[in-house]
Amino acid sequence: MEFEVHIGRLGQWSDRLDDTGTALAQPKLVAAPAGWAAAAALSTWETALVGLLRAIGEQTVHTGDSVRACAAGYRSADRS
Amino acid sequence: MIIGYAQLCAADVATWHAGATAWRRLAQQLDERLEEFDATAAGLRQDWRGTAADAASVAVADLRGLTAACRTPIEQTGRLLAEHADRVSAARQALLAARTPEQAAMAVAAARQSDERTATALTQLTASLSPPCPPNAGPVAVREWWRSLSKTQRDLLILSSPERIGRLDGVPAADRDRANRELLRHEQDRLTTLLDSLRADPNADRERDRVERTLAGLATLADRLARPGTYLLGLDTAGDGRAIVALGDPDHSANVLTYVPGMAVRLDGHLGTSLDRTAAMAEATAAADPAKSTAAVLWLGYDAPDNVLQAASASAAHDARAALHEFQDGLAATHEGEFGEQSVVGHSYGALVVGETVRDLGLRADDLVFLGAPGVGVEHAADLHVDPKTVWAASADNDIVGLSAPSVRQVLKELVWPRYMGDPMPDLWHGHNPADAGFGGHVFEAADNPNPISAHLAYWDRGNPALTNVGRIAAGQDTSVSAPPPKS
Repeated sequence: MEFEVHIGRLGQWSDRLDDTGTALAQPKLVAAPAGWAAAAALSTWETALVGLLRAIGEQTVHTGDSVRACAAGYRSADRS
Repeated sequence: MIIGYAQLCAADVATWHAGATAWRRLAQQLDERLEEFDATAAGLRQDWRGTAADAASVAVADLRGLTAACRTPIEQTGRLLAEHADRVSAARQALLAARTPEQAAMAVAAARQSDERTATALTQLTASLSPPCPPNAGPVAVREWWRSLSKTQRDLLILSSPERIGRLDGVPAADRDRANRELLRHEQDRLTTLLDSLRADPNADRERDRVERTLAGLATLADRLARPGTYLLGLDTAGDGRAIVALGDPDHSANVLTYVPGMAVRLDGHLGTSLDRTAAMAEATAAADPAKSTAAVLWLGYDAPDNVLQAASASAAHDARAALHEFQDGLAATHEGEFGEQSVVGHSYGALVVGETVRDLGLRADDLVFLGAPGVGVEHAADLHVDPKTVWAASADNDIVGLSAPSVRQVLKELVWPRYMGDPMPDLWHGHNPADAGFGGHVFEAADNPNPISAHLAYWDRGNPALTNVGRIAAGQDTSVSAPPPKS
């Protein structure tokens, strides 16, 4: 299989993934007025959604870490 | 919650509008994230080619897809809240302008209707992205629920609730494995952080030791999971820890063996020994019938006794019954195609776990195998409510488990007159010895060992006929199983 890599630029893309993941994991919403059925349903929905976005965000950061680890591996192989 | 006059009069319409704006803004922010994913994916494609690059591209594409799946319901939420705010505002104005009780009642009714409509729509949005599993569902119902979900819904559940999905009997092995690998990674991070804080606490020696042990177990698991064809079907780091690991795909293998280990087995750095035994049985099964695929599962899904005193009680086995029963049902529910042979092997205290489960709840297995058992909770194979022809047992003559006699007198007799005149002791802590002919099942050959402890742990040694026999039983080659040699 063809193999080609620009090691320096992999670091840039892993940083981008970090930024994207961090932003995803921190959604900012506004609490609804209490006493409405819609507010209660909104709160449940918000909890579920925030959990999903946080999980996607963390996974995105983890993917960035994996890309970074690959770059480090290539760099170390180049040196040896 | 029912909206009344006072509440509608005081309705905070501005906050509902602010909420709508926040959700619309979040949808726009997700658009930006999607663009970032696109740019990153393009950049990675341009700067990196090869197997690892392909894997990274797939991972980024998957994450983009999951983010996109969240975007539409977020946008819908903004719209729903804006519409609700408009309707509440109109109803409030109508209430304030009402000149008759009927007009006021109509205004309140309009607000109530909007409240109910919005709540229903929001509940549907929750269910669309995070569909709940039916409560108390058995493995077959779980399987049907899982099949009813879209790939995106399944992926989101695995990512956001790995601890829930990873242990759910009825979810296919490949999906459970993905969830538990996520959980493993989270737990390694969480426990590493916890360990750092415990190091600074002079009063936390015990907990620190436990966390260190568990981390060693997780490292062992991570190492084994790097081997192809390994599936993590369960993981729990609480207490002594639990882990369920399949060597081979249990959903697509013809012969599936489940191994229940005994005393002192827990999620620690020694877990590799139990995995090696599982691998040895998988190998022996494949050797007995090379034409059929094999999976062997290490089922440490219970809190095994830590020591001999605890092992003298059946309470840990009692507590394990439901989980083992459900697990075996789950294997059957998610299995694709015909089973060859489904077998369960219990060693030492694990044999009691198997016996008690079969006796009280039943257990989906064609064959039950007991190795070095201190009794299996019954006096006779027939008391297990299965065909005694499907019950197999071996106990090395010098196996220390032969000392697990229910009385001091019997222990002394065993010590004074070793090997009970050459036969295994018939009565043990937890019932009649299944490796005694009087139990009523099959007894098969196991190598003797002069060291009683080694004898108890040697059933998986290469060349031990016990291992070969377990493989034959698990492959359905019952007629090839060798009986113990006649006593001289």
